[in-house]
Amino acid sequence: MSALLYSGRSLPRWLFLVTALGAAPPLAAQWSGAVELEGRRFAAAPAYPGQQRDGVALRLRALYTREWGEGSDYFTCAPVARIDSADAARSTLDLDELGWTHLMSDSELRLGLRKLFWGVAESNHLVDIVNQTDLVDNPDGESKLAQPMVNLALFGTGGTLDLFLLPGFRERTFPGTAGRLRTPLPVAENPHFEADQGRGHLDWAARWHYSIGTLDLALSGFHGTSREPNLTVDEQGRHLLPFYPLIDQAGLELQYIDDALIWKLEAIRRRGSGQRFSATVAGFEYTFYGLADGRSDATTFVEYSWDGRDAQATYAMDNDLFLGVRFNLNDTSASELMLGWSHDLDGGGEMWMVEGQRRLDDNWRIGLEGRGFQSVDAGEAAYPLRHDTFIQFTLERFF
Amino acid sequence: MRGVAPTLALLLLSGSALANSAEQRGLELALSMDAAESGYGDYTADVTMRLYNRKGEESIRQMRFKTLETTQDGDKSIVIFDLPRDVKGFAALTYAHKQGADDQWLYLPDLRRVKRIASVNQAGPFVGSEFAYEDIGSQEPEQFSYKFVGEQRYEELPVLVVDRFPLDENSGYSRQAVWIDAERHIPLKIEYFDRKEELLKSQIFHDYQLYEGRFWRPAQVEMVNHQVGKRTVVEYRHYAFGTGLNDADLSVEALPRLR
Repeated sequence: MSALLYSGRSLPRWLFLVTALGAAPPLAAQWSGAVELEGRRFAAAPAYPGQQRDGVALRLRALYTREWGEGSDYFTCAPVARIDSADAARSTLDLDELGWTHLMSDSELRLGLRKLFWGVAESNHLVDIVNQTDLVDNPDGESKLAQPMVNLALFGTGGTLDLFLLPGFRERTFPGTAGRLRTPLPVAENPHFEADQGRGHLDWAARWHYSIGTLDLALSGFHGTSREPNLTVDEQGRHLLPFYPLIDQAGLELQYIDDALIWKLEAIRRRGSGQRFSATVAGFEYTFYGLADGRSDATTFVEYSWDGRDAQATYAMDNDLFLGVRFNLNDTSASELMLGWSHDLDGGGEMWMVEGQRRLDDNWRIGLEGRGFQSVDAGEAAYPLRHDTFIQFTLERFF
Repeated sequence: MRGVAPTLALLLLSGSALANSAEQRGLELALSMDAAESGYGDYTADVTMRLYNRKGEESIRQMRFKTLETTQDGDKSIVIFDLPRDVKGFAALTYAHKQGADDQWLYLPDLRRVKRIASVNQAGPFVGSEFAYEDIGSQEPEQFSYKFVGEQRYEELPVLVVDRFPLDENSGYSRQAVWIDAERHIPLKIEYFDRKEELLKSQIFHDYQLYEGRFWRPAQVEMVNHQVGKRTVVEYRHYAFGTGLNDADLSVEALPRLR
């Protein structure tokens, strides 16, 4: 392992106490996990010096859970390791989860390293701010790093209120010099922070979630160090320097289910480092059931993203239309295939994606993932990736 | 299944115009079947599904069911998946409703995401099996209209045969013929007819066991698809009634911590 994502420098000490809970007398304990082999093939030769062409990665993930106190307490530990043939920054050892959950009558206390998801949209995850994005794992931005947190969830007739204290900032991961899907200049490893305490700044967040019939509504707030860095070229012109500003963000999520039609909206308002902007993603999904053989279905997605920052954003969908379709065969192999296409309405280019998987038997699964970049404009966030169209195959063995 | 008494009164009132007709008799049987099954409060069970393709090759699904009766509306239920291993930790939460579509949520453990989904896909196959979602979910008497067919014998037992017609336009069936044990008021066999009125599937309930002195539950249920030659067998083990499940255990918030 050439890079330990968690070197301990940002790991709060109380997490070690949480680990000790794993040794409490168990009611039920279990292990599970998977080994995954991934091969990535790029369509074109690398564009930047030092980059390897293709890559093979081996991933190992395990999950240990135990439960005690008549189901009132849960301990979870989920280590993940990855070795990559091309990019040293992609060889990592990390924890996907290390936490303790304690249930009380109308509330729940969750302590530790956790991942959570906020949002309703498929193509753009604006509201989802608690966990840092892991761009080394996947360029799609859906892969996240576990965040140290104290989370109190209060349940009531007025919905669910989640309160979070978030100590221990985690930096965004970027591919290393040898990796594809990166910026022309690699991102430096010594970030700057607006907060005096740096990584030690205590962030907080809150989210209220309420359902009325098939309408789901959530409002969220965040104060702390932005998960999204501003990148500037250093004085020698050899690296990009990440700067993490302090921000305030308010988020809104709406979803309404009308039979096979689901309407979605996410919106944020963010202010920080002298900037104020809004961004939104809105659209719908509609599912056609009982296709062809009567068992398959196809879910279509239409989403529009708008971002008030225009193209300054590091990962902005500033005026983009996304169209997608996911086929589910609903067969014994749980075969599914998703195709997506996103188009910049300012003429900035197009991106496509494909994701599929199929179970081979009770223990094995194969997967396919691809991403393509076409005629991306120089001003666009995806411009540096224009030579990085790739396809990858995975083989997974579960245990 | 809950609130049986008021429902019964209502349905009997509305049916009074059809006194003693085949429709009335069918409805009464459906209500007595529902009553025989109700009042358990909550239960949990371990479920194994064996899926057989045309060549007879087997693939196995293992899951745990948790169900809570509610007094006003349909059941609340959770399915937690254990096998195959790629879906371990997936969970589905359903709030069944007497009227209108059910509420349904999925928990996707890889993304730590609870996703609320449309529940109109009643006719779709459950985990690739020959059971459709509507065959697995809680069935309320209000979801069908009925017609009594006649008295017969089925495997040496006296049975009453009732045709029931799904009212939900999303149902995959035009009709279901139900063989009801005349004494215990439990289903022994159901034949499912597709929208073209052709025989699609047969469901046979095997090895009924008595729990808590009043609840008959099958240890095995078999579904044969006559049109494609495939078959699914469901085995129920470790039935436990009155386990003390509450609303919080069957909530959206509970989904991420289920293993």
